[in-house]
Amino acid sequence: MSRPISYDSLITQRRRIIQDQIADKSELVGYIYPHTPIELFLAHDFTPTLLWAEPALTGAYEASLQTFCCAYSRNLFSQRAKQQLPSLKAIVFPGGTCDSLQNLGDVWRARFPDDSVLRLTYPVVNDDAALTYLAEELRDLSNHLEVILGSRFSMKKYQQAAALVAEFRAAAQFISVARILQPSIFPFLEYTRLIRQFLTAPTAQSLQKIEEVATQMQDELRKNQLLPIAEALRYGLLTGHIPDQINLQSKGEPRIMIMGGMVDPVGIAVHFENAKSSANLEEVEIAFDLLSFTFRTIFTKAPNLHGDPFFEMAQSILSAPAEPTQEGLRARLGFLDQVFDKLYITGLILCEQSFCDPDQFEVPDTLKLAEKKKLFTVRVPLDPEFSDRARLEGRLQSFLETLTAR
Amino acid sequence: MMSPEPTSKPSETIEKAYRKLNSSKLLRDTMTLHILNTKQASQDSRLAWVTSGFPVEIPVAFDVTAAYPEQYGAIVGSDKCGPLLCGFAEELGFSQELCSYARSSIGSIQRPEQSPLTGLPIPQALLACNNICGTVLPWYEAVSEMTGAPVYLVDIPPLEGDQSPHHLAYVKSSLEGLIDFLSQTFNRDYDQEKLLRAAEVSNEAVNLWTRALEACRNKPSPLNCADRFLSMAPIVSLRGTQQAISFYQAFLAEVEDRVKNGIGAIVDEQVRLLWDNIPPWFTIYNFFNTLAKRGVVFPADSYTHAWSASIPRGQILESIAKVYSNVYLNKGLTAKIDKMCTLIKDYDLEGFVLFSVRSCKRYSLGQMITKEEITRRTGVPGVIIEGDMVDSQQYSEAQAQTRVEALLEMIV
Repeated sequence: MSRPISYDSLITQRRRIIQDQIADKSELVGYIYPHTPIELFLAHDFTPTLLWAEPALTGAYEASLQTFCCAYSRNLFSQRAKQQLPSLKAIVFPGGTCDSLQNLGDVWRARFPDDSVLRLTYPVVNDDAALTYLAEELRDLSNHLEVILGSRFSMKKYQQAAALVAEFRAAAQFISVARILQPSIFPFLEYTRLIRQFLTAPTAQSLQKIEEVATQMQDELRKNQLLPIAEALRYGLLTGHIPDQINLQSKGEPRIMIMGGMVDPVGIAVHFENAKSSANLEEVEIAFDLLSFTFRTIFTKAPNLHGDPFFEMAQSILSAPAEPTQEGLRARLGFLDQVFDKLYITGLILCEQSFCDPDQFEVPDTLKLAEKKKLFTVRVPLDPEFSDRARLEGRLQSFLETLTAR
Repeated sequence: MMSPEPTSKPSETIEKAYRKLNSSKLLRDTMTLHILNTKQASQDSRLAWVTSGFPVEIPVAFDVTAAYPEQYGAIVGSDKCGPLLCGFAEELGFSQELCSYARSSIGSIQRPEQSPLTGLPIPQALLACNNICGTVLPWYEAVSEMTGAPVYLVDIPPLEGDQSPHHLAYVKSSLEGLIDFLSQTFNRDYDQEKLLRAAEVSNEAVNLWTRALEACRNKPSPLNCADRFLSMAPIVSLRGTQQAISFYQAFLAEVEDRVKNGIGAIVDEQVRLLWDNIPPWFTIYNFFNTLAKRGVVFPADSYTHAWSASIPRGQILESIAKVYSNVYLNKGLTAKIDKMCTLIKDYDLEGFVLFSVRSCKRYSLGQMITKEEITRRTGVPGVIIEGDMVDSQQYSEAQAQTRVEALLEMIV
């Protein structure tokens, strides 16, 4: 049994990355929602950084937010109240995605009037009118960045940023697909850390690390003659139509999938690793994830470099797959049906973040489908601090032991 | 909204403290007829379930009858069977942390035989508008999975300040999509004249309702909070129909008569307070009547004033888009605080009670800021009480009354 991995130590690493950025004199804009257009901020010469929940934080929200506010929002607010957030030029909140984050933006403005609070409001549907609406919202946000923060949109920087993000997504998609075909090819924890690193600091250095891994995966798959099917699978996941015949190397192994919304993928991966270790099942791996900060972010199509940048960014955002903050439960269940069948999933870890409406409404129909497919499922209620770690790891350990014994 | 009479016989003192409206019988008859109509409409395949902030004039123009799950939630709450029905939804996997209107409606679909009125009749369409909260979409999508009825969402993104041209264009496009959806789902043609007529009828009812609310500026106030919450049923569910006008004509006449004769909703009005949010339906009589005994009346509340905007004449879809985009719940915290400060001033109120409803994040999150800001701007004190509108397990009557007691000590 290996030594348990500390989630706190990984958080410290993230903090260091941010500190490096500040030392580089980058001006940081913090964001919360996975489909925030990082290209736009880079085009204005800001470094967008994904904020995260601090596990060791005691509450400092009680005078401003009720306990039924989503746990992620409460944690972010407490960080700000205790001055534990990195130094930010601005913070961008999503509008129209969920009520907690919507109201959090208003509360933040009232409590911290000196902060630059930006809002990007998303349409919930996906049609031509929604595309036009979102493009205009992005244009308005860009104008705000120019007028309020004093930094102009640079087409050259936008194109560099769009290329950077496109390359990141392509590399991450490839690793994701390689892991579906051969989960042991690269640990899930390492995969989530690479993605998180890029989202914390979307730089050429972060990209380089993930590209190096993707290149190794390509070589490996080429050796095993799996490259064509990997590309077909990647295309299938981007278009929502997974190919029928996927040649898996180890169909006898448990095929575990993890899903949920704005759960920290690194955090859940750490606790999965610890549960594996406790169960003496080091060889078991998560084959596929459907989490907002990994799959749903990286399988979002990159903006087309030709055409109006705001329209292209809007088109990119609206292509985010299977996002529960968007209309279309039927379509999401249809996609899930394909995933369960065509990726040979046998076990499902279903994360449910505390007081997260989009997550919690999704659970019953997901469970029903999983039951229909006879998947072995564990439902893990959690908060972004992973405050009940022992119980979480205990549940995951029982899940793994039972799944592998079947 | 309509609810059964209190199950326990009110005490002698409570009956004396609170004056029952004569129009409550007409209200009961109007809503009973509406319930029968929804059952008939379901059988005739022309029933839609609709959210409370939905531009209902459009389905009305298609002769589609609307049933309101939120109103049904109020009935469930008043019947004190919220925990039972919410429990049925929880058995299906819906978290206890989710909206109790959603849970109770899902529970009633699962177990109609154990639900008041055997649940709402099965709909042929589910019409949601997210101008009141984001929960309505996943709730209706879950209902769609259970009933097979398709969902149409009128997407009205939250406003930041004034409505921009692209926001208006987007909402208008969503309304055009609604017309196509209704035409296809109910196999009927769109008739703009019918929509204009429905809007006029809706405006007339809104006007009558608003006049009744504004009459509460008088001292003594002719209506208390429970009166308004029960009497708002037709403005929510019969907007755009003649039945709403008929009821509010009689209702307003009684309210104006009370004003003319100096008759208050409570016998001895001493303290005038503002109420914020949906009420705890399971204790609506008990809560407000207990305070009425102490001379406390609530001449205004933020919730029932939500149905007070008329649809202007002109480009009808654009007008509807403007009115339904600008409901204050869709305009952020500042708009809500502005509204409440105006009510305190216009209705000469001495304090306020904010009901923090666990189920309703859009309405409730921000109330701590609201409390401070209202007091800063108006100088009147307020208190926050916690609970839920349907799920009585999340509410403590004693704690709520203690908090209000503390507020009264500051005022009296």
